[in-house]
Amino acid sequence: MIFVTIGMHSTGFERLVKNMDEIAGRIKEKVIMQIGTTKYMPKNAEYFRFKSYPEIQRLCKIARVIVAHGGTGSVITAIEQKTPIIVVPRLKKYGEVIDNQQIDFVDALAEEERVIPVYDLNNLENVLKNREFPPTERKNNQRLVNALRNYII
Amino acid sequence: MKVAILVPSFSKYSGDARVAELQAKEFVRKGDKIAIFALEGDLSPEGVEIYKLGVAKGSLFERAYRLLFFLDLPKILKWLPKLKEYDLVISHLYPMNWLAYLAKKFYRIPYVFYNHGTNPPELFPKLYERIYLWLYLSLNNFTTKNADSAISVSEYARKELREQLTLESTVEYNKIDTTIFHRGINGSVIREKLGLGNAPVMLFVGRIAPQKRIDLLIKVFKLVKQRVPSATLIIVGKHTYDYYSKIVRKMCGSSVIFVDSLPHEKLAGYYAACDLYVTTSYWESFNLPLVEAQACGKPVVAFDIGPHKEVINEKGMLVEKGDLYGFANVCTEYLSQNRELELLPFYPTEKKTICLVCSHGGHLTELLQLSKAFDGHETFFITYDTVRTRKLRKKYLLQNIGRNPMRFIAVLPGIFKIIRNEKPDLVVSTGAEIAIPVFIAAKLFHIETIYLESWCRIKEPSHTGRLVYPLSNIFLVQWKQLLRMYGKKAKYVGEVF
Repeated sequence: MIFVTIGMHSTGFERLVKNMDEIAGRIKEKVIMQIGTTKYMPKNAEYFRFKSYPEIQRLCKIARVIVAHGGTGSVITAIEQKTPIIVVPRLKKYGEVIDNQQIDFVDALAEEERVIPVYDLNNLENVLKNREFPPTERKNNQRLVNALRNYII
Repeated sequence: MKVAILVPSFSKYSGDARVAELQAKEFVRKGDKIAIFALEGDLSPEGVEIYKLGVAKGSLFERAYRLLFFLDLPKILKWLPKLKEYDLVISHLYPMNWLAYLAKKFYRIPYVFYNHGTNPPELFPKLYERIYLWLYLSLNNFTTKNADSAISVSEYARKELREQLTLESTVEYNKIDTTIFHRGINGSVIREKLGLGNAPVMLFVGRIAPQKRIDLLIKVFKLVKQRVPSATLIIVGKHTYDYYSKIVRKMCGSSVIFVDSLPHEKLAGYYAACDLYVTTSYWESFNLPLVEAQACGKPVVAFDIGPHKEVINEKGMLVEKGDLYGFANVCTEYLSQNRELELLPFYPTEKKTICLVCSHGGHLTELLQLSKAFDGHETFFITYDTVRTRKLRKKYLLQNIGRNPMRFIAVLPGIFKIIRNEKPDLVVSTGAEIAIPVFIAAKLFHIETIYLESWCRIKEPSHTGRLVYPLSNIFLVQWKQLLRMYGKKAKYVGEVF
């Protein structure tokens, strides 16, 4: 199963939802999408707008691969469930977000090999055909936690 | 050779004087004729001539006098000609540099500046102190301009001198008097006098001053006592900042013993009486007491700052600057043989109420990754109303502000009311815009704030980050690259995930 999630963003992500829905029509694998406030209604994939956080975690866990926007929540949730994540940054020029910082974020995570970046949606289907993705690991955040503990002491 | 050594205070209570005294003795042994010129002091080493110039009394007057020493023309005109007969002038600190500067200028007498470093102004909480130090630094700069050479007391001090005054120097580590500070001194005299019995004793020696961060030492000590309840802390030093002494004393329990500054001979007994020498100082140029404690055979624990790497021996341990839990952990290891103690968790030294602020999506996920940081404290959330946030334990749920200025104004009174009623000790936020009204309220109610720029901000600051930067006490980013977009306040200490 491929799980698509675009986070709690107040703006939808038309490009990704439409593109993934078209892909869902061409492949055998099941596609479930969390579409938030996106206006496009998927025809081939199962979808919902929002669900409880444990339910999102469950879907992330059982998915073979996750396709997400470049938001911190989606990336953290995916990596926590040890599921590979393909990240498509939201872009300013399509009105999906107010600035292009998701590109920086995806770049930085891709450099650390923690996510698989897709900048051009035409490549998404090809990337999804991959059967094996490198494992994703969470980093230890002990240093930041320790620093905060010391500030608050 | 006739050598004049200039030092502001030639007193047996002063560390700089101890260094100057040893230097004088060394010259005497070599057969040189030595004179000490000091504003005040009570030391009188054999074979050394001592001239006391006099100083205004009272701590405030004294400081002002030292800073503006050059305005006291009668005194300068009286003492300057005396330097004419010397072959070399060594000046230990400002304001004595003035005499050396003028002697060089008018009589061409070789001038050696002995660099003990200068306290960094930013470590001082009060504005007038920072101004004082800034003036001190600039005058120090001016009066060392014509020095023929300079000596720094550590490699660290040498680098600082080069950066601050673009003055090159050679390193000569401070020497200590090993006839006074050595192994095998009987510590039981002091232990008995203070009624310490067999209690594990931590000792700090130094002025009770902001840059020494004695406030942090007391927090460390409180943590240590959670594991070693019988531990005692002795602080030996002169109280030079009334307000700071008040803060420090207010924090202390009964097991902190304050002792006024001591002459060297007595000090040695205190080093001998302790089990561990500790300092949480944020700035040093050499750290004489640390080295004296080591000479008396004691292990030391200190932050990894300034010259500490150069002066610490293999028995001691350095801890990352600011890591109080780590510091306390190391102290426990030294004070107790019981290795199981290290497995016990530390509790915060005081229970605080922390207001956690974030919007409902990724910002909340980021903040929840840090939950462990808030263990032992009371927390509540201010966030947006969604299915997910309704499940949080204690929370105030607001309507999403987004980029709507009307809604921003609409939530303000509610937020002020929450902050006024809850009176949190601290506000922590990972963004987004919901942090802005809360940080404004926190600022008005004098509540401390920590802002953590979102993990997704790599090169460009967020709008919220830019807006709350001036309002926040601690400002953290999660990528090093982002530091250059913010001011000096911004720090990178790791990431949430």
